[in-house]
Amino acid sequence: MSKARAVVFTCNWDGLSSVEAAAQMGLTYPASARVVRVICLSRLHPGLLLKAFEVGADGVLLLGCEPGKCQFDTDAALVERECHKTRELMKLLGLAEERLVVAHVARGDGSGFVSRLTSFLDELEHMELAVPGRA
Amino acid sequence: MARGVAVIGGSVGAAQAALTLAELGVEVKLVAPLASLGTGNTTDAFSLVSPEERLGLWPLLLRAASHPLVTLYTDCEVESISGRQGRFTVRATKAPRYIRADLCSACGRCQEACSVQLPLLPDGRRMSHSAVHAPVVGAKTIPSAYYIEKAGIAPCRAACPLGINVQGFVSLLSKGKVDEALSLIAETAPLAGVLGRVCTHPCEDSCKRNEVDSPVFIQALHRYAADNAPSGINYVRKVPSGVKREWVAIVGSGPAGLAAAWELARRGYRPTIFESHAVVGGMLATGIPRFRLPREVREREVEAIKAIGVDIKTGVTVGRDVTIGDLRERGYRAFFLAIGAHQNNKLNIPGEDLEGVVDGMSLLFALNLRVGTSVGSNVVVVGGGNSAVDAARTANRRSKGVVRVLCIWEEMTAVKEDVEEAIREGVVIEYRTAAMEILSDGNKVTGVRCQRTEGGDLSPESFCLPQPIAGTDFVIDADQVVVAIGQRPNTTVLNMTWLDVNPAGDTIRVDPLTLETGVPGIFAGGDCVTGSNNVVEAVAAGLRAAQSIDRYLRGRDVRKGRTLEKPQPVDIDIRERDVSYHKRSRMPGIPLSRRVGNFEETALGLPAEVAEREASRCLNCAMCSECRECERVCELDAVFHGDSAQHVDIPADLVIDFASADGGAGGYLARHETDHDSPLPLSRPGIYTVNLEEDISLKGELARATAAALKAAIVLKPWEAPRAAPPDAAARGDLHPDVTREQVERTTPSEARIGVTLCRCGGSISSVVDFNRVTNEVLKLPGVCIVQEISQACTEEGASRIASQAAEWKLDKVVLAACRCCGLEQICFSCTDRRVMCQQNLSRIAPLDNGRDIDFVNIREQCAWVHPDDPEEATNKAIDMVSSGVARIKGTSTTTSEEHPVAASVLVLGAGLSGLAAARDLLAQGLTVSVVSGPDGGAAATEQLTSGYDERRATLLRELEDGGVLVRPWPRTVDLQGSPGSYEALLSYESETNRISAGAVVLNLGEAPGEMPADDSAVPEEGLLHRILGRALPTEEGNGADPALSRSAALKETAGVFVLSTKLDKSPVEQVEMGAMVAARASAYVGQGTVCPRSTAVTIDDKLCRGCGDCAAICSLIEMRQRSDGTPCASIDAALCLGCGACIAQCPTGAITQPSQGNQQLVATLEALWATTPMSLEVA
Repeated sequence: MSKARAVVFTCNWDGLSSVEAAAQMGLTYPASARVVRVICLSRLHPGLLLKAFEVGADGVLLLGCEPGKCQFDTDAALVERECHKTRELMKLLGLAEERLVVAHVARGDGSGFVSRLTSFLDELEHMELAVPGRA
Repeated sequence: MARGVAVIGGSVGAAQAALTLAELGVEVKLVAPLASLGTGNTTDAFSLVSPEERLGLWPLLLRAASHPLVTLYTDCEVESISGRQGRFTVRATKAPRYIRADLCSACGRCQEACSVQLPLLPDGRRMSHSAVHAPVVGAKTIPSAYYIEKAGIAPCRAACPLGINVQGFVSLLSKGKVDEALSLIAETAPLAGVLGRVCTHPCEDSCKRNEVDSPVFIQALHRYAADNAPSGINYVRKVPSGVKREWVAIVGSGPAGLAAAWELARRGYRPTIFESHAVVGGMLATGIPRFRLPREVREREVEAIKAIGVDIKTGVTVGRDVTIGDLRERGYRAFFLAIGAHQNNKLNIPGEDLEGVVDGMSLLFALNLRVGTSVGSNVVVVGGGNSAVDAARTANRRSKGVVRVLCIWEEMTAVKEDVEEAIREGVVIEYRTAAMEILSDGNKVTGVRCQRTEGGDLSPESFCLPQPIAGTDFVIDADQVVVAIGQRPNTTVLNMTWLDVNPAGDTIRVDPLTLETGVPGIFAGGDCVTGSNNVVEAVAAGLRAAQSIDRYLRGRDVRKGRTLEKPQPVDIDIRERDVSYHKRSRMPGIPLSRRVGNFEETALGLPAEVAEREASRCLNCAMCSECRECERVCELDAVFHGDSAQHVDIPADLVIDFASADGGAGGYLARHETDHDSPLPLSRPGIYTVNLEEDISLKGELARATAAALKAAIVLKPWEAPRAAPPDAAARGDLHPDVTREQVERTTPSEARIGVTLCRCGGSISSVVDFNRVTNEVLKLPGVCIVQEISQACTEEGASRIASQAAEWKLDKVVLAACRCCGLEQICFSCTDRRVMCQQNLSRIAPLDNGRDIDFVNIREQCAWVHPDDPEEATNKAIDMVSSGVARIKGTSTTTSEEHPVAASVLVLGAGLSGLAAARDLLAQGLTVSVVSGPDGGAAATEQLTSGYDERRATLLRELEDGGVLVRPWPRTVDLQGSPGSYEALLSYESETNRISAGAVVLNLGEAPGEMPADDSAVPEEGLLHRILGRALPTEEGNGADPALSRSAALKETAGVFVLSTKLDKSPVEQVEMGAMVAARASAYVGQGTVCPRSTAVTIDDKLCRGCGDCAAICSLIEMRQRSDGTPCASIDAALCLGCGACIAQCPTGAITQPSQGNQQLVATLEALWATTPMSLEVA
């Protein structure tokens, strides 16, 4: 079982549908991943993303719709821009920028979500834990 | 009162029609042929789309199915439609689902428990699925309730004289469930250990595996269950109330007597068995050799039968020691004669009374019970049946010479396996050989003179014995001859002169159906009725007699409803199943060398892994094996194996029929002869048949369905009737009536009293997550007063439990940890019928404002189901998730959302064919309609128009003119003012400005004459109309379920601006349908009467806004205004806001917030994420 902790911010639409599909398909993933639902990823900003690290996340995964599939027709670049800003701050804080990842999943793609999440957790395992000294 | 519209069909189109009607205020009965909505029929576009597109349609299907005015009937095949318009009755047959759809929460525990795996071959891949499963394997469905696949009675079960659920126990054994297998057997018959060894197993003869390789080794599995069940044999008494504990006397303790006693004891009677021998078991003890049926096995079975209240008196011969009359006087009220057949038949040939000639039964009796007898060196056994084989094998164990069996038939009539064993043990069988004379040296037997035989027929219909052939004589040397050619009963010992006995075989005459003799209250069965037969038939007779005795003693009709006919087995074509060759297991035995002089059991029984493998060979002919494991694990009592097909009569004013459109759905509707031009022929007044050509696009199907619905609605005119308040709008009371409103409002978030409800989901959550630990931890959270556990939150009962908890504990806020994940009114791709039901029940029963007073955490799909192997961590996570729900709801404040009235008028901008059709349909609904034609021009496009466009458009223009609708020319500029529900359109012409008020606006965008060009310069960029269009998703022909299509069902329209983009190459019929679709949506919007902002709508705090405009840069719905002092500030009309929240992220001052996902709530959620499992920081 993974020791690395991840916050999965998922949008309500294709992102959450893949989280749901994973459960309905009987797939499993480590309990150290915690899903936080927002209505659209465009709602997130550096303050919230950094908060996730503050409460103990080793990594943050943003799960959203594939480009062109957004229910709100939000430009995916908006999310990238917020992530870019966050990564700049992460650098200053001494956090590797690979700890923040955006993943676009196909609607209802449960196995796609699980494989992306588990590989992310694996990558985090190979990095040092975000908070030094944590067992 | 309106009876509403029956929509027949399960396709997306049918769902769209139902939703349209319901939104227009018409009651709908949606009659779907299959187990789930949206899995459709041959013309169904839904079945052709990809899983991703399928989910895109999900919000539409779910909205349709869960609309309060829609009643969904699934599994319904329509048989007839009678009556006339206004008084139709749709008669349908509802196929059994075997799962109560109202209770099943699709938790999947039944599927896990199911012992049957059925092959499934999608695209050539070899997969399997259980017999109980979701209606469409691997896809979400509506209703999500599960479904059991059944196909009648398996051949093995049908062939069993006892009716044992063979497939059931075999399937349980395939899953290693031995106790369960034995219990299932014991529901039908006792003596599993005996039958598993000596049954003649007709089940195996009927096994469908015979057609592939060889039958499943059912007998060995029967024995395996009896010998290996960890809990042993435990028979249960199920005493029905009202049964008097009457005494019943049973004569004979053979299989028939034991079975009857067992059944009677189970039914509450007090049976006493009288056995003349000192040992119990009849033929089981005296006739079947110990190496086939060990004494311990027999005794174990007898003890288990005695344990449920059967008294056995040995050494008592009824007729000699005590008479029936004596017993009657002692209080016995009924009698069962099961004395067996112990008198040996004679060969009637010379020499039969010589010394050295014995009968088979005596030999077996002596050797079996160790009374001691001598066995010759060369033994000849005469006979071809089971006792001959038993006698031969028994003699062979003691004989120093050769044991031969003389069989007059071509083959032995005994059980094949036993014959094979006998041969392996060295017994020689002489087929087609008849004993003609037993030879002697004048004193002792020396041999048998034999003749070969010919002819003979074993079939019951034309039975005749083979005849010896003269001149084929030969002699077999022997010093002992055993005659084992069957036995007859000895009824004289009973001393019952009045007993009706068959002179031919000395058998007792009974009514074969009831086993009643000529004397009331006296029944007989087993070998004494049939002549020597086998154990399983004797057990069957015992059970049959017990049932008769029960009826007799209760004064009921002994014959009623009973039959001698075997049940009809399911006729399966095994080629349709994924059948692969698997070798039948062999029964391991003790080595031949150890069998001489020894009566140890020869067959050792199957080892566990072999038994499981052998059981897995079963083809599950009946699909569901009725092992009832699903019933056992379902905590919701949703499994209902007794379900059966039902007739449903559905009243309706009008019928819209999708199902018969392909002409192959039974032809219950007369096809319309002439009007092929119209896609909506009326097969008779009031019945609309929706024809869908095979290549119709999804949008085309939806438009046609909506058009049909609108036609029906225009006939029924629901807008003329006072609209019944939807159940959701039931007056919301206070959370706790004894506290005044002011007091509630004064409660600040930090003082809020919070209750938590944990849903077990029928055990599917609580089997992984430790609810005790969650309760203890969550109770420690400040503000949490009470944590309760309920079995199912999505039912009315669940909602009532939550409501009463809120009332009892005077709660301000409630957190429900179940499968629902939000309290929003939107329907996303993840929502399910149960989650919608949960919310609907809560808003009806519990006076809680979703999203504000109650919040949800999904501990099913986001916890229990994805961490089943780590209950410890799953429980920690559940605690954290509930904690974050508690933290989140603390931060929500009660805000009342404003309701805006919606005016009953619609403005149509653009007057192409679609726009005019929309205007016409809106007018027909009694709405005030204004039409503005697009700019002149488009001449280039005219040539591309399909034929009939202009004519139809002209007709519509005339119709509108007749209806008093004036079509205005295109203005210089056009814009909107006001708010959703009460817009005012400003049309500026050269000389004047027209103001038109409208509750909703329809835009007909396109290039055809009269249509409004997209991005027309007449729409000012800073104006409201342009801003609304900036975030509208146009409904144009695209691939499948695009965001525009799913958004309309998922998010629901609040702006009241409907965009219709048409393409030139669409046929006029399709254009008109597109118009109808938009008209239906616009009128449904107007028909609501009021519009509320979405609960996700943002609010902008004027005091905090610094007017940077970053929010307006990404969202056109946000308007930059000037304050009175001239400084800029952002503002938004809440009723327009889509609720995505992107503006919140952009706002540098925190002026924008959203009730459900404000910064405060998200931070609180994050802070609780690892509340139970905090980081352990090591001090360096």
